[in-house]
Amino acid sequence: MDAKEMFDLNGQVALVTGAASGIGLAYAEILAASGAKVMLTSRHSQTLDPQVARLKAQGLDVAGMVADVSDYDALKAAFDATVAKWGKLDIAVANAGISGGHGITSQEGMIENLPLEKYLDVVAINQHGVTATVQLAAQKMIPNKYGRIVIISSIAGLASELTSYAYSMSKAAIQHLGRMAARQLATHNIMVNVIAPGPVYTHIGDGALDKYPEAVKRFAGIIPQNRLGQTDELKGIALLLASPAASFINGAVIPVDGGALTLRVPPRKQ
Amino acid sequence: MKANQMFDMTGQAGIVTGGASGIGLAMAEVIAEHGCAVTILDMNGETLEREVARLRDLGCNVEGAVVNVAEFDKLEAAIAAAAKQHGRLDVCFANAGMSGGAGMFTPEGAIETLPLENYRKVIAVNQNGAFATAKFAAQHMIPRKYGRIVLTASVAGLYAEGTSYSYGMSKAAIAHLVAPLSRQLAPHNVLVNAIAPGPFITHIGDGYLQKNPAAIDRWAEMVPLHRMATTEEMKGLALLLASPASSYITGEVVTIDGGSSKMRLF
Repeated sequence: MDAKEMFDLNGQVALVTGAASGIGLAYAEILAASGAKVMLTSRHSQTLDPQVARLKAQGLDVAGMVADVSDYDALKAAFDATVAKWGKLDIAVANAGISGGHGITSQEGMIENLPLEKYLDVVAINQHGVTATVQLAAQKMIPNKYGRIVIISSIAGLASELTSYAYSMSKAAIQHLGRMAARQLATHNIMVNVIAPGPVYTHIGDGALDKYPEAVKRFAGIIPQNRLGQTDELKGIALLLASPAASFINGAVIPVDGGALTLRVPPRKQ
Repeated sequence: MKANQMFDMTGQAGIVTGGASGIGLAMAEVIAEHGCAVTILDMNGETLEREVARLRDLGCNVEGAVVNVAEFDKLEAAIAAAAKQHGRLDVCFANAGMSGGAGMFTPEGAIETLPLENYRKVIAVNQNGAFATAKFAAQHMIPRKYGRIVLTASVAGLYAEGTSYSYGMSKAAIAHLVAPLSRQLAPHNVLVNAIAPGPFITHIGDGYLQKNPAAIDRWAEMVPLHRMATTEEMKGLALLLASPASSYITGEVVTIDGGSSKMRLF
């Protein structure tokens, strides 16, 4: 196989959750640009619809469906609609997630202060939503004896970042979901892998990065390249893990973080 | 400091969730034997009563409280009552957990078929209950600038062991919790570590091992020491992490597994 064939997704069908913006949109774009038919899901039709229209205008074979990953029936309807429309499902990218709000060094995010209801809300989306996505994807892929499931975690699930407890715990939990599902689904020829992005410039947290340029600077400071990643820079790894080229990559947790995990950062004064 | 001083917990107060049996009981027992006043929190009132009476007969200062860690209000009240009774809280073992039932290689436990309601119930106890326990304990430790929080994770949270998805995922989340939690609480001199046990003979899963003795042999085959552990063998590590002896250990996940997680390849 030459490189073109290894990464060719013509004839394949994909579903990406949280695909209306940020990293999820980048994944949907690269899968579609590589030949896959792609279902984009998102909670918000007002952000989803324009992106679906934009990709269609580029000649890509995509569709959109509103589905909150914490609403099992809605999510199932999106998977069912994908298979109804295109006949099968080869690739699922479990990407949808929320930031989880206050980090561990802010007063509201410290363990002694944080409201447990807020923690539970984040786990419901970032962890249970991903588990449901992997379950539904496996159901569609098993009969065809082929599949690529890509789970989007974070380096906050690998090291002590300053994100919320709920965010880092849920991201660690779904990394382990990836390892376990990789092992269980291997006999069905379904590969399950996890991407752990470092700081990437997205709209997560209602545009927190746009509002707080000092946060951007701080994130850049923990990255050897001294800058945040761009969503386009996640496309290569996503295409690799979604494509036939990944036929022997299974259960891996791959950081894409500009080298951030190689650094130790002194704790900020409290 | 001599060893007997380093491990002396006289005058301290601790809580252990899920402390009426298995690994939790060994944790409660060892800190009580070394002078710590211990409040055991457990769901099972009958076992709790029996073990509290037994430890008291041994001369230990032990109380019991019937609590399900998934019920946050009752958990918060029980921890506050324990701290109030002794005027302090030095040690917290967030240990309560459940097996999560059908393993991932059984038809009922496979990802494509498992009922997500069951999965959520296990997360509620193993993950959210442990997180809430750490939270409520930290509230009593921070003002006194001293604390030891020890979370019970599992080797099944570090490797894909064939347990239920909910068990493996919840234990992975707990193992990771030590990273941010140790970092946030370090300025308060509250140290946070996790213990990741391998195969211990306990009553987990409604006495699964007692009902399936062949499973004990299967586990033993996967361990370089060629046997499962007894809960007594948890005591040394538990005491280390709970005592003044561990004053520079924080943010660690310590496996105690007879070497099994280091022999994964060939």
